[in-house]
Amino acid sequence: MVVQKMTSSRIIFQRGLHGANKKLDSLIRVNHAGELGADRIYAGQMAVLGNSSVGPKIKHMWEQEKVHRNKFEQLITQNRVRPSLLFPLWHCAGYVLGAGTALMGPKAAMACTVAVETVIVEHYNDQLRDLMDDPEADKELLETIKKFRDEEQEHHDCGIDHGAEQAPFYDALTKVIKTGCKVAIEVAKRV
Amino acid sequence: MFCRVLSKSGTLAKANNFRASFRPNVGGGLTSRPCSGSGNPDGSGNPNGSGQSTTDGNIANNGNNGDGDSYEKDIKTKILQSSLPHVPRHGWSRDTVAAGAEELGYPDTVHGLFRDPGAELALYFYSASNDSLSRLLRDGTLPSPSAESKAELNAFLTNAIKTRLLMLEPYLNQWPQAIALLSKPSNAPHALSNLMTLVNDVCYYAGDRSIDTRWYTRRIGLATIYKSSELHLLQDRSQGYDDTWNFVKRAVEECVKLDTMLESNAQLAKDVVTASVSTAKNILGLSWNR
Repeated sequence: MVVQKMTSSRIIFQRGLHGANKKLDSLIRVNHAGELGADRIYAGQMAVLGNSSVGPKIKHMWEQEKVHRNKFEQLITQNRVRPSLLFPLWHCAGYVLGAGTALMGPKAAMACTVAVETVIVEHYNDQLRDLMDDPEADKELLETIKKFRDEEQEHHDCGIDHGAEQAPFYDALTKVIKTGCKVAIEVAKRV
Repeated sequence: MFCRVLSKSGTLAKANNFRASFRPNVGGGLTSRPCSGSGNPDGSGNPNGSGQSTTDGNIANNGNNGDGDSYEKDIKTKILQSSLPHVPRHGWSRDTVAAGAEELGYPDTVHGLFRDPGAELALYFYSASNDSLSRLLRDGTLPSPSAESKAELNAFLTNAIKTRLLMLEPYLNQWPQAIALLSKPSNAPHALSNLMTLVNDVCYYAGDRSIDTRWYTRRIGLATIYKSSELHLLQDRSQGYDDTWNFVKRAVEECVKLDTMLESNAQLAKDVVTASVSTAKNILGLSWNR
């Protein structure tokens, strides 16, 4: 009986000396892809609405997203994480989403911001819950995500303040964008 | 695993007998191992530090089989390790593993531990060689190139591939058999993952810090070079494998050139797109520019 158990055992298998942590890998990868997308969304919005009245507000949020993106790029190289294979897709999709909604008017752009930030805040909260199981394990990462989560929440509130809910087809628009973001998150976790 | 399972079903005595029959003649961490199954596995002869941490995670998650898993892994690693010198005689086969087990004092039927003894031996050899290359890179025996000099980068990559290929040398005559075993569908994923670990390490120490698709193109390029050089080496009859080293050198140079070209072309493509967009905007008289 015992031998039976042992024959079915797995092949001895190592992932190199540097001891990659699968969970941390996927966490950093998806966050980097997300912040990259966010950065590109604001770039798209700026290209269209740069000169309008909401321009400075978008510019401010864009600057914050750039900081986030840089932070995760730094974490990727630090932890030797594999970046997302779909990098070019996130790059283009973000820009198209940002520019597309901005072309529908500033309010639609804000609705897009609200939808995206809602999903991102939820996503960060999920990660924080996971990380809080062992808050001492990676304090820096925990603090970073906490800070970013708060800033994303600010962006969300700012979108609401600027009349996101008065955008045409607000419900349908945000639902579509939210679903898209959730799918993107699940995909980026894996590839 | 089996220790816990048995003690649960109240046949601990049997388990002890079984364990005793498995006890190797040579000294080492294994023999001093407590058999109750409740002893903590830390520091009891696990040869690799990085593996230890993952095993600990297993124990935290499902306490039932974590202990047995690491114990079994220890035995398997030891057997495979002592089997390697027998490869030139028996090839990558069950006989080799049996011979290695016998050397450690295990009964030669212990090859039943392995699903596919030959392939597992080859995989073990592969990852063990990867680890020793990785150690060389980490300790700076093969110094990382400076960021600017392409010649230094070429030399580094050539050197790393050469070092790794030379690790195959003792088993060169049997290596085609290992390649065949490793390309079996059941083993290919592991073999591929081992190859990726290898090129990932080399790329990292070569100073690659890319975070986009270049991360992938560079690794795939290097893996292709490594695999084709390996095949080249198998048929090389020249003095000191000079043909192969020349081949590696040329392939690395071309690959680095291609990488540089792709990079500059990507920049060029971006410039062209930006230029045409702004031209179109000017023609259409649109001025919603920042």
